[in-house]
Amino acid sequence: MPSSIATLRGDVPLAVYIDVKSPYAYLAIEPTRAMAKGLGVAIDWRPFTLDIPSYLGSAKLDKRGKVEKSQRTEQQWTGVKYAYMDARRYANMTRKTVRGTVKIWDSSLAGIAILWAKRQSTALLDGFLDVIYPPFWRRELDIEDLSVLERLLGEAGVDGAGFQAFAEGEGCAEHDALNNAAFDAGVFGVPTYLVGDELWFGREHLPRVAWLLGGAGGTAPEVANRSFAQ
Amino acid sequence: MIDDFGIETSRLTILLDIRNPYSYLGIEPALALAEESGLEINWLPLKAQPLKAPSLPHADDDRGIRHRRNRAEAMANEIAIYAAAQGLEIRDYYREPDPDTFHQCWLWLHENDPALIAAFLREAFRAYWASQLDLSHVAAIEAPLTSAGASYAGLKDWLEEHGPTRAAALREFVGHHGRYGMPCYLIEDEIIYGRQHLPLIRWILNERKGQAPI
Repeated sequence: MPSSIATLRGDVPLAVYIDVKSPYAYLAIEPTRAMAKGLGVAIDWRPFTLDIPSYLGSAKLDKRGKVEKSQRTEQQWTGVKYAYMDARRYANMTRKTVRGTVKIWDSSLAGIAILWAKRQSTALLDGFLDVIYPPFWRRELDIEDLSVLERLLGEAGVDGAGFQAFAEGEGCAEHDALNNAAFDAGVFGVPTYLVGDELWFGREHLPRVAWLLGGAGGTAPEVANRSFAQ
Repeated sequence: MIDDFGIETSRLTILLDIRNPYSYLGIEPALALAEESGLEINWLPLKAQPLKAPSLPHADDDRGIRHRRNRAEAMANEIAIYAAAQGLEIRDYYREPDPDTFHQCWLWLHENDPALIAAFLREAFRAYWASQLDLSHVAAIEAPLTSAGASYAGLKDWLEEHGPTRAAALREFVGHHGRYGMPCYLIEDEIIYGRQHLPLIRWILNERKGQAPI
């Protein structure tokens, strides 16, 4: 009988859960692609919309970056600040910009847009990820605005006709079902990798993911944030 | 003059808590890096946040409780798999004994014979995680000291006269390091949590030459 992780993964060799509002998911896109390309494995990108206030409190900054509203403990704040500092440390190495967000975004519409692009083709989804992540992390996008997402889909070459109806109906239902199924099976953050019967949270596990996809021969690798560029 | 416990002059300081399984998992990879780089690591003890065991499910669990359970289960799984990969035995992740006596013995060795610390830690962590070391008894801690080749003459007197104040001075110096994960690495002016960053640390040690680690 397949495990709950294998059931959730389905027929694909590698499923990866991402959320546009996670800097760690942003940083994972390139090394994940490079790892998969090196092995000739397709990636099944799936949206997982983080419910951050449920586990990390909530907060909103004003236009100057000062805390306007907060329901976070001091420990939660310092944890969030370290996480952003860590993300920026790696972003700087790959010439990406990661600015702290001014609020906790509802990224479900962006997740639905991922599903919409994915229906058209994997290549178009890749293009969509490339046009949404960088400007979002430069604080240039309102990802809760349907017209913004329609524009980005167009920039990526994705046909946007019908996206609004999809977002309000079938896409919303698919997004919620995917999220609930993932959460019920143990997914809690992004990026999360499903490979074989295993679930791994964080790009530091890419060496193990690659090792499993490659047949798990030889010594199992250690965790490492490392490049997979050829 | 403030005693910095060698932090300012060491190229790499690593803070560990013997009760933290990620600390144990971090020892061998760090030693491999030290050997490869010809580096002497400044090993220091620090109390970290204890790991939380996954809670038992209840019908009225909210999203936050379920999130923390998912996370705790994933961490337990991660520890088990990477421990097996390193050939380490790690029993009962959620013990919370008082580590003060052990950490003070470690500081004593740090002051008296720092070159033996790696061997001491290897044996002490092995014994603790095999449930064979009582952290609160100096007599028990003498075994890993002996195994490392250290003499413990004068240890008990030092513990009585200086142990708590030296431990407090270290806590004062390192502040809240260790709060977000272990091991905690201090290199140049950076604080880095977790052994997944060892490629970054290697790159920094190599004066940031060559391709960045990611």
